Amino acid sequence: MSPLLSLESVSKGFWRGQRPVDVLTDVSLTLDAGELAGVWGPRSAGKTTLLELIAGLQDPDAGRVLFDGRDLATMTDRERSTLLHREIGIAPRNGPASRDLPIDRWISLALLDRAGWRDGLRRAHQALERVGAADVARAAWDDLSDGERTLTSIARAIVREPRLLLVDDPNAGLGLLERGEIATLLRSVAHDAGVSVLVTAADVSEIQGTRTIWSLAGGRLVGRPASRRADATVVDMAARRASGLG
Amino acid sequence: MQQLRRWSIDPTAVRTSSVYTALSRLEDDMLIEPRGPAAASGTDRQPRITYGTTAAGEARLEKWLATRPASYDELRLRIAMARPQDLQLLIGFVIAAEQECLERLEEIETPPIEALTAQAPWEALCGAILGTLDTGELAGRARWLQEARVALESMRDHPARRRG
Repeated sequence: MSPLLSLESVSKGFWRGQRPVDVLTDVSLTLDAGELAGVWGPRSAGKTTLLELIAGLQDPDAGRVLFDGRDLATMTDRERSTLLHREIGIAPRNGPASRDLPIDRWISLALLDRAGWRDGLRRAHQALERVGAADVARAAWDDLSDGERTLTSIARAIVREPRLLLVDDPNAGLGLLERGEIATLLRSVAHDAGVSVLVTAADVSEIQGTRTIWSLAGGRLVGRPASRRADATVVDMAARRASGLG
Repeated sequence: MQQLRRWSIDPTAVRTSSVYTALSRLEDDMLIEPRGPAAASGTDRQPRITYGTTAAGEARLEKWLATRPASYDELRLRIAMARPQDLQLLIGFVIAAEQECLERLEEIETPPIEALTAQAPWEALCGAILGTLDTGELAGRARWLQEARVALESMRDHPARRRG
C-alpha cells in the first residue's frame, strides 16, 4: 500500500533580516491511511512550517511533498485549492473572525461550497456530536474553554470529511484529562474513519499513544526508520487482529 | 573521582578498591602504563601515580568509541570519553538512541487516563501509576536525546561557534 502522504528530503528556509535560517533540513516521512502520528519539538522547531508544506500553503526549497502519490509542485493553484478543501482538514487555531458567531454556524461555513445552510448546519451538529462538544453548539468562541476550542476546531476540520487531518498543537494549555479526551478523539478519527492524522506538540508526553512519534528539532526529523516502520505496520495489524481489535 | 562526577557518574557508587583492580588489570593487559616519576602529592599520603594509555590502549579506546553503545549508560560513557574528532560518530549514536527511544514510546501501552482519576480498582490504579513512571522516564530520555542531538548537530553545522 502506498502512503497517503510522503515527504521526500524536504528542506525549507527563510531570511531573517540578512541571515538565512534553515527551518527544515532534509525531512522525510510517510503517513499511511488511518495512521495517527505525532511530531514533537520545541517552539520554532519548524512544526507549523511542516504542516503548511504538507497542506501546500508553502513550497519546499528542495525535495517533494506527495499527496496520494501526486507531487504538490506539479499541481495548479486550483488543484491545490481543491486538495485543501476536499482532502485535507486543518484544525484552525483561531476561531471565527466574527467573535459572536455561534460555533455551529462557524462550522457549517466550512461547507458553503457543497451544502445548503440547513444541511450544513445539520452536519455541523453531527461533527460537534462526534467530538463530544454538542453542548457548545450555540456558544460563541470567546465563551469556550481551551479544551472546547480544540474540540470545536477539530469539528470544523472534520466536517468536510478530509482524508488527512492536521492539528497544530492541540494540547497547548490543557490539563491531563482534557489531553486524554483529545487523544481518544484523534485515535478514533484515525481508527474508525480511516483518516490520517498528524498532530504536533511542544512536548513528547502530549503525543504519547500515537502510533508514530517523530522528534523535530534543529530542523531535522528523527523517528523510526522507514525500513523498520514497514515491519511495524505488519506487526501492529497482526497484534490488533490477535487481540480482536483489528 | 572528580572526573567521574563530571561524567555524571555517582562517585559514591564506585569503590576505590575496584578502581585499583581495574587499573592493575589494564596495566597487565598493557593498555596503560605509569607515566613519569611518581610525584609526592604534597601530603604524607602515598605518592600519586599517573597512568597513560599505551599504543595498544589507544587503539582499544578508538575501537570502543566507534562501537555502537548497547545501552544508555554506554552512550553516556561514549559522550564522556569522546574527543572533538568523534563528533560525527556521537551524532550517529545519539540519533540511533533517539530512534530507539521513540520506538519504545510508540510501543508502550499508555495507561487509561480514567485509572488515574476515577474510582478505579486497586490493581488498575497501581498499574497506571507504574505505567506513567515508564512513560515518564522514556519521555525524559527523548527530551534529553533531542537536546543532545541539536547541540551536537549545531556544533557540526556551525563550527565557527565552537570554542576551545
